[in-house]
Formats: sequence, structure tokens, C-alpha cells
Amino acid sequence: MLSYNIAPLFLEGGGFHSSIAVVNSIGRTEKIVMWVRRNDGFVLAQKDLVIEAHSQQRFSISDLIGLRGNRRIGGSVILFPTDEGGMTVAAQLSITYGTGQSTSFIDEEFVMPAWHDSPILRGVGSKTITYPLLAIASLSSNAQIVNVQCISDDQALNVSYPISLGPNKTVLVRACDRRDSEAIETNLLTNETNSKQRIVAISLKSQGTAGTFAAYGIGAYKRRNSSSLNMRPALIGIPFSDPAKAFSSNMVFTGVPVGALDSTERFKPSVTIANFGTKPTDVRIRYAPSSESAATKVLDVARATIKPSEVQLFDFDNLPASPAIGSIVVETNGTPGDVVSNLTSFADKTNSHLSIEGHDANAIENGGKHPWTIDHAPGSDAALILFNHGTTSEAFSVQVSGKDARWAKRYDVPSMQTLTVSLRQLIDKQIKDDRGAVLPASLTSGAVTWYASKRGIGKGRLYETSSSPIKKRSFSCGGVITMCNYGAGLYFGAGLTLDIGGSGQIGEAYGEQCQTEDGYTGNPCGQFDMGMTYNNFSATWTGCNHISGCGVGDTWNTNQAIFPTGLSAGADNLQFELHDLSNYQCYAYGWTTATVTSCPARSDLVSNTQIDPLVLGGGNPPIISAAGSLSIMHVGDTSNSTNFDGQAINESVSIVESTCPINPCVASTSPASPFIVGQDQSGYLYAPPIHNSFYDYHVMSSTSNLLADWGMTACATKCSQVYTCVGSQTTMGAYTLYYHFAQGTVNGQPGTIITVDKY
Amino acid sequence: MLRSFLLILLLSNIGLTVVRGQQAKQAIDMSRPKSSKQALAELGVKSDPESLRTALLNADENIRGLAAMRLAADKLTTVAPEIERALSKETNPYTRLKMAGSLFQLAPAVGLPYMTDLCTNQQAGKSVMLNAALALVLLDSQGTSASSCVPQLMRLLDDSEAPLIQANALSILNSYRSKLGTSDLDELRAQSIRFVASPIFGLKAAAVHSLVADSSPAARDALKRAADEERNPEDQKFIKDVMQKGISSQTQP
Repeated sequence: MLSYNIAPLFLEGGGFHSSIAVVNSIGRTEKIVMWVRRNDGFVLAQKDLVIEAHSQQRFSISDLIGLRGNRRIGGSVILFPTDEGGMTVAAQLSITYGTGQSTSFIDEEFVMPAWHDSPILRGVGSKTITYPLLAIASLSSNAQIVNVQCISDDQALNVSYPISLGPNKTVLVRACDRRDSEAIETNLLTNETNSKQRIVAISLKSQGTAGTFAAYGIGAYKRRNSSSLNMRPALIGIPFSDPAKAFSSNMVFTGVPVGALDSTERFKPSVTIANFGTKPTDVRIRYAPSSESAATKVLDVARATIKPSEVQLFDFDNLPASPAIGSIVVETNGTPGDVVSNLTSFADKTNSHLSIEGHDANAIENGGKHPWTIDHAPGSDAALILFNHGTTSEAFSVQVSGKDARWAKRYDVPSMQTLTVSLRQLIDKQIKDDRGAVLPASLTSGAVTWYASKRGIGKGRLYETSSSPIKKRSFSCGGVITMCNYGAGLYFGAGLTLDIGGSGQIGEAYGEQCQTEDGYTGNPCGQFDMGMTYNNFSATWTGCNHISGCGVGDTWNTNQAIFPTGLSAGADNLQFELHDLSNYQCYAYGWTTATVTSCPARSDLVSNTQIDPLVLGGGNPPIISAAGSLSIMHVGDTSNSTNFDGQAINESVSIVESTCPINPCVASTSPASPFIVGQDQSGYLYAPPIHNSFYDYHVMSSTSNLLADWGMTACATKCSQVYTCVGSQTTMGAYTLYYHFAQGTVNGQPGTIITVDKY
Repeated sequence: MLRSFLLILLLSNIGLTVVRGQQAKQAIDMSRPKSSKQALAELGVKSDPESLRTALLNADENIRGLAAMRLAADKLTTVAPEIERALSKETNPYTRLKMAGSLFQLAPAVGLPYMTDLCTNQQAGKSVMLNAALALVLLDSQGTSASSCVPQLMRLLDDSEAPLIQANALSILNSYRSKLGTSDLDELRAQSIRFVASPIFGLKAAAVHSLVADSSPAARDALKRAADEERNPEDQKFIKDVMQKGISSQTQP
């Protein structure tokens, strides 16, 4: 079944401009189709989109439909995948109206109606001087009746009436007014300066199948001192949401500008709340200043009781702890979905405003995905704003991506605090991510994805801004960020074999970061791989009796190879269990074995003593080419915590380079005659048994004067020596044996003095 | 015994040889000595305690020394008095060393004076003195028993007539580096800097290792200078090779 994303309303021409931003934050190319649809259902334009991994594309509606002149046109935009594999692109339709300081910016998120939705949508506008413009778009091939119920502080608007919605059509009407009219001209763009300010909330209920319609509204706000007839009204969007998708009675507004943030603007938040329920509900509005603010205490800024079918307005002209980019939480004790709220922050100096999309505090989405762009315009920036509305400090994982760029960093945000991450600064200051990577200085656009460890504790949005031309774009699409392609790379079969004190890679618990097309249904693990590491899981390893390393894995370090250390001889059956912390039902488990031999993992050269040729003997004929050295080798760690005495050690020796016509690089051990740790040695020197040590003689003797026979005055041979423990193939230590041959006197005769060095 | 079999070609067993067209007279022995147990068995001495105790009084000095080593390896502490008695009668310096070392293993307090005497008494001979010091360093890895040998080892560094003795004294002191005092370390460094330019390869090599283990700037400078100024290309390559690898694998026992 294809899933459709729809923006129910675009407006183009006559001062309106609409554009679409599509962001693909997963690790594969997404192919989707975009329809630009007229109100009567006629498809004005169809475009096949190929969105590369971790990228975004933006489209102007006028370009798509080839609009010429200043004729105004409205309609809806639909996105759907080219196949039934689904898609996770996030999209937003942006409407601008006007120019300069009086430009209105309306950010309309695409929504994805689905069969498991309810047939109800609800929304509340900010304070408006007009009847709202309401767009209801059908995604059904059947006609349906949509009942409109309005709640307003203006009794004249408390009406309820049906609207006929034809198949695949969009109705664009003046809301809360039975009179049908040319909605845009007579309502939104009115120049009436004495219009009454009112609050309007709207509930839509379709008599058709659930998930077959979407809606969006626009209200007009009377600008302060807008006495000029040429002063255009400020337009503010009215988003609609499905009450059945509400998991709490609280709404979170992230990144609310409060106070005089700069010399040109002084922001005053305004909250509207509507109660669609049948019981009175108590409301508490809490203001959480930014983490950068000196006063970080969470403030209760309003309390009220809202009766059924009532709307209330809360203007906050002088919030304390400002200026700040803070966040606001609207808490109620009503049934989830019954109480709907809206927040707009008005700038009284410039008559501009910024609408903040609210999100259910316990929404199923634990993250967000947004497009971002910065350019060379003055003040151009894209800032990710994160708000932790949980009760404890929370780690937000942020990934910024673009063409050939991946950047990931964890941000710790204290409870009830807001954090702003400037992408401009990340790039300009070449700030390193958690793995030391930086974003290319030339990068100007891409996707940003973030997630909190679980749902219900974090919200975020991306804010694009510039001062000339004025731009204020807010992207707040949520996403279910979860784990996929998870598990652990393990040594199955023979498992891992270690020596005591040695270490080896037993495996690696890992997870990829994924998105779920529809978080309400389907597999608890995501199916769209973002191509990035996922750290939000726990890995528990058990069964370590002879190796180190078992225990609960660090949430943030599980995507790392695990190197246990052999502690004592024996075999372990290891199990691991891995759980996605954002969804415990997404998990994996596995097992492997680790065997620790009785072998030491390392050897160390303690001393290398040259042997006096005299010790090797006079004899008849006498030894006249002689000597060598005695190496004392220690095995295991220096603490001697493990007794290796009696362990057999083998050596392998090979020639590296030589100027001598001889190869002394020959192993002196054999399977029947290895070195034995802790064993004494008879012979040239007194060599008592040393705990965890063995002796290695490197001696040569001959009754010939080797150098004279070779016709040389000196030469040298370099050998490579490797020790391995019998029972293990692991190299304990690798050394160089350096045989040095020089002329000299041995046993009173001209001979060859052989010195053996080892390092 | 050893001297006798050194002349025997053990082609199948000794890892010999070589040879790019060399003549047969260049028989080269690279055989590895055996443990005291194996050596005694080859000499026809049983390894039971009674046989070993009897062997302490054997006419062959080699057997006497090996018997003491075997008793110590078997940790037969009750025979320490018998080893001490044998030691008191022993005149061969190397056999005395084997008996003293064995006594030190079985009864450290009793054996230490003998070992100290052997590492400091010049009558024992320089090789025995060095071997005694090395044995104390190895046997008493945690303690400071070998400290009494340090002055004599320092003196041996000045024995310019025996460069091999100097090299081994330097090597043993380098192994004991972590327990040396500041003045001894300074002396060790000074001697190492002197020896690194020696024409005797064994002494040069010991000095290079000592300077590599010495982390002081003076040692580093001396090494670099030695590498730069070394005229023998092979020795120069050797010094650079050791410097590059470092001596990190050389630790205290």
C-alpha cells in the first residue's frame, strides 16, 4: 500500500510564493513522485524526484507549474514513493506572503494520513482578525462529507456545518462561516483596520474512511500600528493534527524566541488553547529559558481552567529570564487530543512573527529530520534547536550530513533546557565531531537528523534565517529513529582463543541508525538504514569466567570492537543481548565461545649476556671461532600473577639479511626439545630456574677461524626470531638476533669472535 | 663434559649450518645446553633426593654443581645444610657459584652472604663475579639483594683489558637499572656514552642498549651522535636499528 505525504494548501501568485523542501536523511537514494494538484483535483505538474542519500532538494511551485503573471492559484501537493517499498523523506511546504519586514512565513509540514488514523483533525489558530482560510484536501477517490465545528471567543463563529469534499479535490473556504466566498481576497488580505481580534479553533470530522483527508488553515493577524491601507496583514498558519495520535495531554513548543534578542526585534510569545473535550481542563503553561540564560529555572507562567468548547489566549509580554531562545510546555489534565494549542511569538518592533509548531510531549517520534541551507546572505545560518523536556539530563545524538560529508556528535542537554547548535559555526569554526571529523568548509546544504534516547523526552526543530533577504524558516518534522541491521560480529564456530594476558577481538555489538516509515505500525526496528552508526542501545555480555570484558556495555561505546583479555586457562560460553533503548522490542542476541589457553601472551627480554669464548673451551683442536650470548626471557605480565612455569615455548628463526657466507639463523627448539619456562640450564653460565622465565642460548663454536676461511675481516647476519607458546599460535614476542663476526684472539690463537646481540 | 661434546657434530640435532659452499672443516656447533636434570641423566646420576645428596660429594665438580642445582630446582629445602657444607669445601669457583645460588634459593638468608662474596670477591674471577651478580638480579627480582654487587660491577666497567667483562657488567647494570641510585645511574650513563664509540662490537652494543633504556636527553644526544659518527656502515645500521626499535621489550624480571 502506497503511503502519501500531503501538504493540503499551497498558494502561488498575487503576492504568495510557495516552495517545497524535501530531505532524504537515510543512506540510500529515494525515488518519489510529486504531484502539484489544483483544487479541482487536476494535476498541474508531476515530477519524478531522485533524492540522493543525505541530501535535500527545494522546488518553487511557480517553476513546477510554469506559472506566469500574477494570477493567484491554490491547491495541494502530494508526494508518494515510486514503489511499495515505502519512503522516509520529510517534506515541508513553505508559503511566503509579502516582502521585507512585513513578510509572512508559513511553514506547513507534509502529513501522512493513514488507515489507522481517526477521521478527525483539530487545530487552533493564533489571534486573528479574519475568518480563517481553511483548505481541506481529499486523498480518496470517493466523495465524503466533512463536518466543520468551530470554537471561538466570538460567539458568531461558534458554528458547525458540513462541507462536501469531492474525490481527490481540495476545498478552500472561509472557515466558521456558512457563507462561501472568494476566501483569500475577502478574508486574509483584508485591509480592515478595525477588525475584531478573535481566536478560532476548528475540528473536522469526516464521514468517510479514516486517513483520506488532510487540512491546513491560515489566519490573518492585525499588525500593530498598521494604519496604512497598504500594510499587509500578517498571515499565520493553523496546523491540524489527529487527536487519535496524541499520546499525552501536553504540547511542547521548542525554540521560542522571547524578549529583545537583537536590536531590531522584541519577541512576545502568544499561546492559544482550545478545549474540544466535554469536561473542563486545567492548564499550566511552563516556560523553560535557554541553557545559555543566566536564569535557567523553569517558570510557571500561566494557569487557567478552560471549559468545554472554549478557547483562551495567553499573551506573554514580559516573560522573565529573557531574552532567550527558550521553550514552552502547555500541560493539561484533559484527555489526550481534546486540548489543542498553538504558539506564535510576535516581534512588536518589526511587526513580524514566528510560529512554532507544537508537538505532543509523548509523540511516538524520538527524533527529527530537517533540511538545512546556509548561504552568503548576511546573517545566514541554520540552527538546530533541541529541547529536553524530560526530568533528567538527556543525550541528543545529532548527525549533520551533506554531499560527501557525515558529522555526528552527542550533545548533553540538562532537563528543561534548550540548546542551539549553529551549523554555520560548526562549519566556519571547523568543530570536530565525536570521531574527530569536520564538515567541509564548502558545504552549504544537506540534512540534519537528531534523536533522543527514547520518545517523550526531546524535541527539536531547525531554524533557517537571514537578514537580507529576510528569511525565517522553521523545519520541525519528526521522525522515529531506531536501530536496524543490528547484532554483533562474533567469532562463531571455533570461537576466540586467547593466551593468558593476551587479548583478541571477540566481536562487536553494533547497530545502524534507521528510520521507520510509519512508527505506529510494523517492525519495532526501523527498515530504512541511514548509513550511520546507532549508539542508542545497550549490549549485555555474560559468561565471562576466564576472560575480562563482560558486563553491560556503555550505551555510547557499543559500536566498538571488544577485546577481552585472557585471565586464566579455561573455556567460556558467551552470550550477548542487545536492546534498542528507544524501543526495547527491537533487540538481538547471540553467542560465541572464548578459550583461554595456559599460554602467556607475551615475552620480554630481561638480559642478554655475552659468553666468554674461554668458557666454550680449549679442546684439541681448540675452539678458535666462538661465543654467543645467553638471553633471559620473561613471560606473562610483570606482576607474575599467573604461574607459567613448566610451559613449553618454541622459537622460529629466519634470516633477514647477511654479509656472511653463513646462516646462523636456525631454531634451536624442536617439538621434542622446546624451551621450558622455569627450568634451569646447565652449560656455559650458572643459570638457575627463574619463575616465569626461560633461557635462550645463542652460541656458535668452531675449530676453524671462520673469517679467515671466508677471506673476510668482519661480517654480520641479522635474524628474525619469534617465540610461540606450545598450544597457541599467537606470537609471544618477536626479536632481532644480530650475529657479529670480528677478527680477534680466541684461546690464544687468531680466531673469530662472535658476538650475538638481541633486541 | 660440555667441552667434549662441543667437538662432536650433531648434524641432525643441533641446528647447524649453513653454508654457501664452505668446506667441511668449518663444522659449527650451535647446540643448546640442557637442563640440570637432563645433564645429570646423561652423566648417569639419578634425580631422586638421595642420589642428588650423594652427588654433592661426587669427585666431578660438574656433577657436584649440577646436583646442587637440581636439589634447588626441586625445592628440597631440607638439604640446604648439606649444600652449605658442600659449599664450604668447594674450591671450583663455578661450582661454588652453583652451590651458593642453590643455597640462596632454598635458604635466602643463608645463601646471600655466599652470593655477595662471589659477586664481590675478585678471587672468584671476573666471569664468576658477573655471573653471581646476574643470578642475584634474576633470583631476587623483587628485592635488593643484588645491590651489594653494584659497586663491583661499576668497578668492572673500568676494566679496559676485558671488554667482554665490561660489556656484561654494563648489561647486568642495565637490567638492574630500576633499582640503581641517581649517582649510579649517572655513572652508568657516562660509561655508556664512552663505550658507545668503542671499536669492540659487544661493548658498543651493550652501551647502545643502555642508552636506549636511559630516557635522559644526554643519552638521546649521545645515541644520535653515535649513529651519525659511526664509520662502520654495518655498525651504524645496527645502532639505528636498535634505536628505532627501542628497548621497550626489555623489562625487569
